[in-house]
Amino acid sequence: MGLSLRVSHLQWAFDTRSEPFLVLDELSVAPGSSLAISGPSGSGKSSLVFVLSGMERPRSGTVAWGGQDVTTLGEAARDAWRRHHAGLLFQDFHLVPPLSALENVLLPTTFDRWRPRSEDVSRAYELLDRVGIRKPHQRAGTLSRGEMQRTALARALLFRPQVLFADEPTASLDEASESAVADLVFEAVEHESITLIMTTHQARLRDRADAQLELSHGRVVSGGLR
Amino acid sequence: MMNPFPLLMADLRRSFFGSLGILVLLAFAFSATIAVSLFERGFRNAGAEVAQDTDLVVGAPGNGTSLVLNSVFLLGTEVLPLMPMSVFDKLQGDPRVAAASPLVFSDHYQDAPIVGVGPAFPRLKPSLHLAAGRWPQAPFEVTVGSGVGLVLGQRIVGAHGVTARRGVPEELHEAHPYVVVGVLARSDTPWDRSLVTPYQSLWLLHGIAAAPAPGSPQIDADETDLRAQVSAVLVKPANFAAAYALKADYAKNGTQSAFPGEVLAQLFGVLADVRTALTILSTIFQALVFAAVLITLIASLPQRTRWLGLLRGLGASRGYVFLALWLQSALIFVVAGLAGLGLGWLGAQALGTWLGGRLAMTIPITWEPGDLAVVAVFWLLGLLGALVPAALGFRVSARKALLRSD
Ligand SMILES: Nc1ncnc2c1ncn2[C@@H]1O[C@H](COP(=O)(O)OP(=O)(O)O)[C@@H](O)[C@H]1O
Ligand SMILES: [Mg+2]
Repeated sequence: MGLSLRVSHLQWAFDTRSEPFLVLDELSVAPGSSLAISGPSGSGKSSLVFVLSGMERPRSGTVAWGGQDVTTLGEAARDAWRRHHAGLLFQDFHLVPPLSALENVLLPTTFDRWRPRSEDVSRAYELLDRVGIRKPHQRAGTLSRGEMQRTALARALLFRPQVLFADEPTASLDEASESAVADLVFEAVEHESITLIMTTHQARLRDRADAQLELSHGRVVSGGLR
Repeated sequence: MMNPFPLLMADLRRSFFGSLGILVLLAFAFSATIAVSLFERGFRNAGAEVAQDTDLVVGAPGNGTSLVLNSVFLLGTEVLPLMPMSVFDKLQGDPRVAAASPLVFSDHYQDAPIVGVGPAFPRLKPSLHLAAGRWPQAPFEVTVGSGVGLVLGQRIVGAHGVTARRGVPEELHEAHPYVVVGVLARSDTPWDRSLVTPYQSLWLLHGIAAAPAPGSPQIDADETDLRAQVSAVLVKPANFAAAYALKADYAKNGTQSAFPGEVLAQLFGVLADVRTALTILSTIFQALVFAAVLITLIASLPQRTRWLGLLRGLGASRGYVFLALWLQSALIFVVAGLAGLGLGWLGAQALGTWLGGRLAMTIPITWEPGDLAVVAVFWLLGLLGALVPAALGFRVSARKALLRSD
């Protein structure tokens, strides 16, 4: 089951000296529902994902996932929280090219294990099959862009995350792969009732989400539950 | 337990040629140190082995080092000046002398010297053992070193000159062939490539003594003919005090004397200085390479931290990033240490074979526990050095690594 999100009085800045770049007074996302964050380039979409996923710590405010305020956690605990509760997708896929598709999917298992558990390996194969990667031992660097993002999706889903963060997941893809990847993302979050936090500047994708939030210069322009 | 190996191996594959270059550079820098130390030790051991038998060498005045190198090490670098046989007779009759043998160098067979010796020679060289046959007793009998490649009963013809000279036709003494009456066991000394014969053989050949009819060699009764000369005399003094007294006595009046061990020690003293200089040079070289490698590893951090930042995003801890960075550099140092050991050993072997071939002695290249300490220090420094890029890189921010570069 996905986690709920409650954000209040959030302020985040690039460093301790600068003015807050992101300001977000109030935001709620229901468990298992999806939120699309949109806005022009540089409006702070990615920054918001970094803050919501606990990679960045806000200057003030709370980010509560299922009642747990991740802003109060130390760095190691936030790492562990992401490891156990979150999946991540990026515009640039961020695969490790010399590794095979399968090895990329299993990479997160190396964070706290010497060898992946057999159930992780079988889930990795199953996920790769589900996203349509037929050659799991092919080097990631030789995959097409659409296949790369589908491999990245399999990696994000490996540990059955309760939240999926997707930062412009289709922006680097051609139209056909774009809709294929979008379909797979929505299929996955519906199938495993994962809460989805997605940024996009594409209207088609934005409108598929349950809720929309529009940013400009780090501030909310419009948004809330539809 | 975390396992950063898949990632760091992937990164090594990505930067294969760069990493290989670093590794080779480090290995070569390190191998220089190893080679110098292995070779110097081998050379010292080999030299001490050769010198240990001979207590004192007496020769005509000249260069003492040359006297030792040419009489004990059979180097054949130059023709020793001759001195009268009477010097030997005097030594022979001296109560301070336990044994003495003249040495006459004038001929050679292929690339081995034919050394004229006296009957006491075997006593003076207790490390030389017969593998077959006996020591020569009559003129034109030879006992050959194991490296000469002759067998009992073979007949050979000597050629004039202390060594064969390239481009100069051999002047063969065909009228007086030698017969092999003994073969020496391998001693790993220059004597392995020598032929030992009674000194009278050489006198007869060169007409120094009154030559009897060819075919029936016979030594003139008056061996102490003033015209009879020898290149050097090997002396085993009766005791310690006698050795110094003899050395002093024969350092004047038309002779010079030397303790081979002492001359060798001086040579090794020089060699040790050379070794120290080489060690300092190779250490400086190594330190420079070490620094260059560290700088390269630090400069390549941005490329490496991109993936590591991504992993931070996916939930990897800072410890994982630190370990991955440290292990990657550490691995290069560890492998370079091993490769350097191998290369150093090969280098020392090559040097030993080359110089050993020229000196007709075997220079044994062996490991000693101390060598492991050298590697251990290299590894320790490598593992510590590898901490630097790790410490500089492990705080990579996931946001900065993941941010699009556009
Ligand atoms: N260290 C920094 N100091 C100030 N501004 C920065 C810094 N780093 C990035 N920015 C700015 O922040 C914005 C990036 O926001 P981002 O969240 O990536 O926007 P989006 O994802 O909507 O394109 C850009 O305008 C960029 O120029
Ligand atoms: Mg962005």
